[in-house]
Amino acid sequence: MPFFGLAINFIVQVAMCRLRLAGLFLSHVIALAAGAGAILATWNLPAQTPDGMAANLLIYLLFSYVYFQVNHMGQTARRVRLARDLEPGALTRAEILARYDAKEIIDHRIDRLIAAGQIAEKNGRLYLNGSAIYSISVLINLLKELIFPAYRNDVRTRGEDA
Amino acid sequence: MYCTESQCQQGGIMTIVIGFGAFVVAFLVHVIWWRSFFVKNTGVVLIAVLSVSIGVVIFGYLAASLWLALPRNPIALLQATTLAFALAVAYVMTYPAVEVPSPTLVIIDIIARAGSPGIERSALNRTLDDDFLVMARVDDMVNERYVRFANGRYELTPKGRSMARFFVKWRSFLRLEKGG
Repeated sequence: MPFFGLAINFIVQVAMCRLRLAGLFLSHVIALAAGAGAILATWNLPAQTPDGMAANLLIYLLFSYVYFQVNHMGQTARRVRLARDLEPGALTRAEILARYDAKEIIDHRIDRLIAAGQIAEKNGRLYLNGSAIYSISVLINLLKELIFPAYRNDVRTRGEDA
Repeated sequence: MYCTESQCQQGGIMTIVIGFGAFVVAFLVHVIWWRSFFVKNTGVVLIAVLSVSIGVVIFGYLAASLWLALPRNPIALLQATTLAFALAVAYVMTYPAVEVPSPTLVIIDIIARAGSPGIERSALNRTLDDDFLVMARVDDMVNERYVRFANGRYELTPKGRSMARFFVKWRSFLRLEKGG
């Protein structure tokens, strides 16, 4: 059942993108709802229980997250851009760095965070505004400290330096 | 009907408990492994560690159910295995952000630490330099064997070339810009 929902999700997302009916993020939101709706429509099937439905929806949401991440990686990941830059031929460290503008990368991300309401800019200073991405950041930092024993919180040091 | 009424009633809970249980065991094995050894090619090793651990838990449950009075619903067990692998794949997709700092999360972290006085954009630009934003990811790609470093130059391995081509073709199929 979750794979039926995933198939609907995939078809709707690809169709919306190819027909240019929505951008990448919106196409995923609509496709996610379509796939979940298809799973919920099987509610009256024999042998379907609330717990079983919950398990199916959970599996569906997890695989949908994976599909979203694959597309999101292609959209924003530095590793994808680096791989594309290296495809024509090998580059030195200086040649790689010449293709990137750190200020531009930071400014682009700050603008996206402001647009998403996660941070606010007042009188030229940046403040935390939302809690969603901050919660993810806290979770990721906890995972780092759990997984990597020698993990030194570089960010903490950098923040103090700043 | 693909299970009896009583099997179906116990199926959903069994799916969630065994699925989450198998993933938690696999995650703990991964944490212990990473804390005990220096892992290279982390993506491949992570997938192997999680898959084998989940497989062992599921087969262990099957074996135990032959002797102990544990619920044995084949459909629920298949669903539990799928749930455990779905959790594992979702974790594998999230793992790069744990291994190499994501600029977005680092920006949020620094702003949060600045507290009520806030922080200027220029301070962030000074803090997050090219080495942090670009070379950390290049090193990660070397570690993952997408890139090799030879004679002072970075070049794509066949694995890295496949990844680059996959994303170029996939995004072109979706009629999206190059991205990255």
